[in-house]
Amino acid sequence: MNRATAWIRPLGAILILAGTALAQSKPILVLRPSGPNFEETFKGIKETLGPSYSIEEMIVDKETETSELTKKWTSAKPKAVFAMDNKAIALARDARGKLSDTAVPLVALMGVRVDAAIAGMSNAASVTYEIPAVTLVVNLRAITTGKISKVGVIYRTSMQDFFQKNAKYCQGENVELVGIQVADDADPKSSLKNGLTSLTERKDIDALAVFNDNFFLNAKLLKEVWLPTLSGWKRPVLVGVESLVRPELKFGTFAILPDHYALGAQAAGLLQEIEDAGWKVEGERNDQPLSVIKVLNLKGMKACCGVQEGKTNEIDKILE
Amino acid sequence: MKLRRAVPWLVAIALTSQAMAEKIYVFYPSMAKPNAVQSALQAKCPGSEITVFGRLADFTAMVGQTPPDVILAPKVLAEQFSGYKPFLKGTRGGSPLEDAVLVSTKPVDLAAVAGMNVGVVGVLERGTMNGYVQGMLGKLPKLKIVTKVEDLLPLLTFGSADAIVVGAGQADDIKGRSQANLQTTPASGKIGLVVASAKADASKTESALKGLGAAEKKMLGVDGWTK
Repeated sequence: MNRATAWIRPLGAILILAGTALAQSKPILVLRPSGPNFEETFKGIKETLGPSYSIEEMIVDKETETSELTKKWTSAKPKAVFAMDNKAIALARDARGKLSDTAVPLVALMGVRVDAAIAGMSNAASVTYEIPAVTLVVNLRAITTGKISKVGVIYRTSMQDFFQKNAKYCQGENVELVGIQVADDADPKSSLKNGLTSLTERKDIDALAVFNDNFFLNAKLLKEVWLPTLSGWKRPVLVGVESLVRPELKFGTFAILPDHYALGAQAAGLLQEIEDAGWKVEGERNDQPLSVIKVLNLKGMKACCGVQEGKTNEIDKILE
Repeated sequence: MKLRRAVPWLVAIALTSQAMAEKIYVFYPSMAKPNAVQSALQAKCPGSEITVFGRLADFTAMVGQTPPDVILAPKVLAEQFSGYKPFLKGTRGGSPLEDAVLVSTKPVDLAAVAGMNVGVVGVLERGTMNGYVQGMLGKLPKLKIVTKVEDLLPLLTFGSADAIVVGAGQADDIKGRSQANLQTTPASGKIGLVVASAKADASKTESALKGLGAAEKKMLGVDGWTK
């Protein structure tokens, strides 16, 4: 081989190696809506799985048809599918049915009650999106000087299983979750007013946890029930939405939000466990989210209870 | 007029001092948030330009893309960057190593650890975490790798892991957050604490690190330094 053609051999070797790596990488399909939170979760999945997986995305929206997904599914031949949000989960469920393909495991995340959304599906697992109450409580207790042993919450009957699971986790941390159950067909305003009054009149309730449920948590009820009822109640209010801890709103004290990057990393870890089990999910598998972002209304927290010295270092964002 | 003439000089001086400032990248997972650690370290090291990373992937990528003068990271991670040589080792109780411990809700039999799910914070690429944990426990369990120290306790709360493995210092922090009956089992291995590594002379950073107060050193999981 002369000098002019000497580079061909190493180049050929490089191409063969690259081709082999590509051929060996495991195809994964990610279904997700557009938006920064979904992008962040996708980043967590991608960076955790690394180069030995070839990840293909499909952006879904309200208009996306199952036929578009079955086409993508057929061409991508994924070893596993991630579905983010309830629309993507429903599409994946339909596509699996149409393709009669349950050999490809599904990992569902970032939807409302994803555990319920995948109920009855075979070879499917989820990481739930709702932050468990015990996570709110442990993080609150880590920064406050106040005692936290009973936390009040109002929930609908359809969320009873969610409440019970949360109460059990809280029990493990010596915290009693005191729930007021409201029928799904009850009047939201009066039932919320009654429930809140009942909880705030009790001297032994150390904090309130507000579940992200539009039935109780909307602009109208915030103005007409939450704010007037809690005005003057000097205990922390734990929420799951950042805008609710703005100090000028005088509502939430501490917001605990999903850490989307870490959620993606957790889902990727779950996928690797499924892979280790031969791309199979045995039974029902619904993991709780592990990682959160903490936003503190410092003014509100100081007004209702003390803050342990130096502990604000553990908060992601402090609003004053 | 005088002021106008002085401005370029002031800008030049500012730019020169910035250019001369040693660039330090820090990655050390702890309960404290990266922005809090960065503010605390920057205040004590005014002659340095400090960036604290909360994610391993970001740290690794930035070391590759815009290499710093100094990296401050757990020993096992710092060793991955062959161009950097350690010039200072963090110590606790006089030792650059601390005992690895398992924290769990039920008693742990170390002999049975291979069949357990064990949580750990990712301080290395996922593929290399196996060897790291095996070095600490003597056997390789199934790993549940999390991105932050505070995410270890939820692994136990939700029953996702049988135990978590951490350094003895962080075990106290984690147990301090929980009212569950958490148990500690000493593992057979040790964990290397934070080390400071540089490409070249880093005497300025060395004296700045030695001048850190107890609070800043605690954020790095150490209480002293040794060569």
